[in-house]
Amino acid sequence: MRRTALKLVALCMCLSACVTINVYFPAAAAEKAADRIIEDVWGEDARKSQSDKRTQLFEADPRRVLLAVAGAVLDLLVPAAHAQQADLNISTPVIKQITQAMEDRHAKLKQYYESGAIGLTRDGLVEIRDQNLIPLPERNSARKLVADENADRANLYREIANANGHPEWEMDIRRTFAERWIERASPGWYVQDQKGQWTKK
Amino acid sequence: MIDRMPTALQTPASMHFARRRKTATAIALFALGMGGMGVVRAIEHAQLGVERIEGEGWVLENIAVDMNLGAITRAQVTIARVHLISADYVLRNIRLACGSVEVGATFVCEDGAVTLTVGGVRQQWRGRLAYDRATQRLDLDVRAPSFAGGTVRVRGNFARNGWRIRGTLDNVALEQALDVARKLEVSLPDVAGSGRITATLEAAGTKDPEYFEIDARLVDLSANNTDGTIASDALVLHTRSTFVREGNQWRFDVTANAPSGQAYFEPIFLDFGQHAFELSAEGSLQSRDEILVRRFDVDHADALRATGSIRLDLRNELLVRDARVDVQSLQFPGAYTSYLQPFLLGGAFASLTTSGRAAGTVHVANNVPRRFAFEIGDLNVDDGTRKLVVEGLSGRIAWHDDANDVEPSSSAEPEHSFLRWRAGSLLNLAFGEAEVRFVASGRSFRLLEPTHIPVLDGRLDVERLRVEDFGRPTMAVDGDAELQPISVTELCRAFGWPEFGGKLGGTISQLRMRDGVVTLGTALEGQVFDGRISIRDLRLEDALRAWPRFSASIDFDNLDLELVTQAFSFGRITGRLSGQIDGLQLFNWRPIAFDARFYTPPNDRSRRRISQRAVENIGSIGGGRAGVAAALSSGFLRFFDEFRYERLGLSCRLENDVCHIDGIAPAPHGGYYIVKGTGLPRIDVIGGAHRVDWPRLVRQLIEATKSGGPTIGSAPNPP
Repeated sequence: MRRTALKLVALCMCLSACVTINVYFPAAAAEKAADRIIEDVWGEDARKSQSDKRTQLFEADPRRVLLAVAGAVLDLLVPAAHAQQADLNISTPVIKQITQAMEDRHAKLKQYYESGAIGLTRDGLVEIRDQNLIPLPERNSARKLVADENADRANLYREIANANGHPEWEMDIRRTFAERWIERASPGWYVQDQKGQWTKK
Repeated sequence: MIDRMPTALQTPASMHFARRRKTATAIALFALGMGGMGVVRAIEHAQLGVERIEGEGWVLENIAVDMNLGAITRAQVTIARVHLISADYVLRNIRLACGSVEVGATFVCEDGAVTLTVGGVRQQWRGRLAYDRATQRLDLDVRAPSFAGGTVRVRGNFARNGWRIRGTLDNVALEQALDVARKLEVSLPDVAGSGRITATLEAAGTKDPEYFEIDARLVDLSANNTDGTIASDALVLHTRSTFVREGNQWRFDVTANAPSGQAYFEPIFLDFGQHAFELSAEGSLQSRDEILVRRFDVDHADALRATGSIRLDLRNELLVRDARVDVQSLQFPGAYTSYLQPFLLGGAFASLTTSGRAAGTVHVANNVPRRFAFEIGDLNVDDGTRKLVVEGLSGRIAWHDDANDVEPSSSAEPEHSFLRWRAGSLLNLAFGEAEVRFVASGRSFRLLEPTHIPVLDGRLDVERLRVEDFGRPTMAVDGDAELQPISVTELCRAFGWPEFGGKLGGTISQLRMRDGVVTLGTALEGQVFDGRISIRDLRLEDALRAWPRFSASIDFDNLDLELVTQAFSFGRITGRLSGQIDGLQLFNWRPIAFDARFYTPPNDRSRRRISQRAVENIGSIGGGRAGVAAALSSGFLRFFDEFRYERLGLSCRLENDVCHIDGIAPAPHGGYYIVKGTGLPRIDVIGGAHRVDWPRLVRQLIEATKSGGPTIGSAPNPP
């Protein structure tokens, strides 16, 4: 009994000594920002998956449609928390330049996404998943494209965090982007699941 | 149909030769039996069953022999099971039919046909088999008229004193051959491929093999390993190799040449169509784990010619124990595209146009380069963007790994190196002919004597330069130099800025690089527009990467405004101007942030006049108070070309592509004074816009300075 009391006291002391650090990351705003950048970089290719998804939803079984409707009604009744979140700033000159470079590069990378040679990783980067799908003379230039793209992506995530005054958000932003790149990838492209396994969309 | 005559002699249904050890013995017994039967010519049909014959490394089970002893003796042998013990492989249902059998001192099976199933595929081999009882010599000549799309022929003889076998493959499809080999459970590296092979393989020995000779020509070889790190496409490869046993060693002599096709050994891509490849090597396999290449010669057309020796250790991973390579010639661009470019991916040197040549020696020990020395002759390098251009580079670079070098000479003073060039460009700055003398060892580099490099129309006198930890993230650079004044006009031209006059020079001391960031401990001083300019807090990050970042702060002191406005065709203003640009940040050489202010120095005593055009231009920058131009061109003001002013000034804080503008003092209605006039007619220029879109402002300023007729309007609401 006495021991339990002591433990309780210790626990209380611990709790009172703990400093709560509230790390607030605007997930919805980050998602929105990621989507805007992905649309810039991928152009039409980012829209393919979206339209497909919509048709899929309506082709899906009635329960899912019902759920979606219920969700929409709920959204109406209870304004979602993210509606009040401010947008992330993604229009700094640095972000614009990097995004532009990535957009230019996408024209060259696209063929490799489509052939399955290059896929989107779970950590927000790209990777050569099957080198044998790349003709020999193109292998090194494809490797360079991947290296450049990943350098730009890493720069982009860091810059978005910096531009919004929260360098510590870099990993969260990268995670958000990782999800969005994969979500927005066109059908037929290869993406990594949470375990790092490649799957074809 | 003699062979079906029921009167045929039935030999005992089963003869059991159990535990016979020698091949020769078994065959001899069989032949002896045949010879014995040969005596009884009246017997026209003989059958023989043998349950088991065992030899060195093999077992035959359930052998049935059926003979027709007519004018031409025919025989049929079926073997239910052949077990090759050493290969742990079982062949089933082998049928041997001899079109003509000669049974005498020599047993000969002419016009024979062997049918057997190899790897699930029924194979038929035809040929001749002869066995000499006296010498116990077996001669064999069989061929598969159809094997994997081509033909195979095997000839051989086996005698007491030795054996020799010769196989010929003609136009055999590699894919099918690999397939058969896999079904035979031959352990092969995990490769997939197609192509055709024509080859002669010869082997000989007494008991164990003692000699191999391979002459193979692979055509249209497209193969790759699973992860694609090694691959070939439409490769033509011709190789001749001999292996001879000497005691415990195998001596080899190999030549290979690839006249066309492509190959990829990550990260090296070789296009043999462009640069044919020839290799010859001789040496010995010392043991299972060690290969000694006594001499090799490589000729990679227009890329590399080298000779040398290598000792390889195959334990665990491939290890180059020791390699001495004499690079007779490295020819560019072939050498760059084949051997250097793949290792420079992602860096600044990833797509260079090169020409020239080099030659030298390299010593590698335990997979690590220990020393090299290269003579470079007239090498040209161009990245196409003027970030890096070197013309006419020549000299000698000697390097050794001071920490690990075990050469006796390593205790001596490291060998000196020198490089000279005719001209070049680094980060858009053109430099001229110069020579540098230095010492390179381990990961460090040290300049031996001061060097003078012409830069634009000035000169950089490098007094001291030291690099440590080269190529590591911790790479450190320290140096001191003096910049002999270069003209600002040239500098502007180099960076594509609006051109203006002046000189820039100064002492570059405490130049440091740590963690990829270049900093300068002192300020660069210059004279521009009859005033002074000082650049301090210089910092350059990722200079040669995709996104260089540059930052600095600049002070201007007492510039002659007349010269400034002339240079920029801005409309004439006389007087003096001072100012600062604090926290200037360039990303990819474009300004992304600064805090700039320019103003008439407080104690200025010069003649201060501002022209009509300048008033218009300034007025518009400050938000284009409507009607500046209208006000000036109407009424009596239009009779004055210029006006006196007391002071002027403007500040711009750039942030997120927006210029936050202010003047020298607040004006009524939230505005600010840009120009405060004096005397009569007195004119004040008051700005109203506090936020201006920067890219648009720059565009308009450039247009204004180009045309001389500015059209600077107020900016739309910036984002």
